[in-house]
Amino acid sequence: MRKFFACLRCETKKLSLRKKYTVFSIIMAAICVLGTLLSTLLSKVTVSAQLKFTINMPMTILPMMTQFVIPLIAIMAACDLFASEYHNQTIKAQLMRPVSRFKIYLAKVIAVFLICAAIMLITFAAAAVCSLFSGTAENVPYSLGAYLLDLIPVFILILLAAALNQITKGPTSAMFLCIVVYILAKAIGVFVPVMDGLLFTSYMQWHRLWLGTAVHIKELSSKTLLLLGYGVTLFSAGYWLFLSREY
Amino acid sequence: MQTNFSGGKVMQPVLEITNFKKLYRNGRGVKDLSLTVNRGDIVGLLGPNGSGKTTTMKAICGMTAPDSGTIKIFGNDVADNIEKALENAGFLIEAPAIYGAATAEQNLKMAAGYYNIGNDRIDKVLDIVKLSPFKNDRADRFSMGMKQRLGIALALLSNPGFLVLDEPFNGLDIEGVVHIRELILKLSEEYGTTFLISGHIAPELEKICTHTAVIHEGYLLAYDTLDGALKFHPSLEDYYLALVREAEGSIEL
Repeated sequence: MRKFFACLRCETKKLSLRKKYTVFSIIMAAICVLGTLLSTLLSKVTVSAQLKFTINMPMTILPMMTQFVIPLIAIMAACDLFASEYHNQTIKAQLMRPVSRFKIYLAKVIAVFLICAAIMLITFAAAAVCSLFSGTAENVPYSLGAYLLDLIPVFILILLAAALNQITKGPTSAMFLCIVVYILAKAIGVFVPVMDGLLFTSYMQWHRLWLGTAVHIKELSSKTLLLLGYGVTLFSAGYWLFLSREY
Repeated sequence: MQTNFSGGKVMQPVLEITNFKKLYRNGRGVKDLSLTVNRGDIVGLLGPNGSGKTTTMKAICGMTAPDSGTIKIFGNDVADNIEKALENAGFLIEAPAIYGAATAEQNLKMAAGYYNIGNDRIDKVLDIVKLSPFKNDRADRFSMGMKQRLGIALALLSNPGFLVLDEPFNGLDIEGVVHIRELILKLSEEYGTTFLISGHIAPELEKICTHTAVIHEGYLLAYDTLDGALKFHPSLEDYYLALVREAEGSIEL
């Protein structure tokens, strides 16, 4: 396990050295603050009580996070740790160390997940602080649960991005392929309703299944198993491709 | 691991390559290679471009999987247990694998995690390769020679018993070449470190090697001690050229 954690520390360090992830966190926190300021301003200028603006900032920003921002960050981070490293040959730094390929692959995937989780939680913290000022603080525990649950489909998306990175030749093509596949999956979910329930990209707001008013155990278990199936398949495919790659 | 005795000297195999074969789609690669490197040996691996030197080195560190054959380091099969096989080995293969956004010290710290190595060892290897004054500088701002020094520092970090260096003198200035040459000889004499070094500059390898292996078109043409190689030739360069010309002549026939 020591070697796995050494590998994980190395991968997270590499991502943390890239400033774009810090910039993303700052932008998301700034959006929360600006949104709260705007809603406070609007509620003060509104005379009618019916038009009072009270925004539950964590839940307002969550769909944007899970549908666009976090998938983009997950794809970028996966490309940074896989395709970019293949391209500039820095992957050799890991391959020449006494650590198995399995640990390297797993550490890379988890490092991408950790950066996504960190940005999610930073955004949540900023939104939760903002909600204290907008008078919706009682919803914070519910929101935290929603943020944590929505990280599950993000992990599956990371596994997809990692697998796609194994079949591309450079970081640009990897990024392009990942984005196209994600948009395509989303579009299929919208335009072919019969497929919607089968695609994991339809469950990016995973919390809706768990934190809704009525919880259907049968539906929950079948969809959880579906995600699990995606996870096992994508991890196995990605790892096999990683293992059989020539460096 | 088997220990042999030859002429009263203990022969402890560090690297054992048996019938190694690795062919790429273009037909290049290594067709058949068997080689044993014993403890304390400094083996110079010579061969023209595309002869299979780097492929062999990549296979030694597990970066590329052999089509057939086995590779053992300190008795541990690279294919079966890569963690154990690479535990006491250091590598510099092709261009140094360095993270440009990280400083020299950060690059070494990232690698140190695999070996339980403290900051004192990091400072020592930075000192050995004369990069201490630049340890807080970003690696992407380093010159080619400085990157090469950092690559050597990364290979030396765990104080390994076996070092594989692919063209270690690339990009180094005259002073740097002399310094690395002296370092290799010092490590071999003081710690019995074993080396497999590839290169194109035969006179440079002649100054440090105890053995030479000549590889051509994916086959091992010759493997001999330096004294044996120089028995009928004035220099390693002449020995190498004679072997390669003979092989190319026989291929034409």
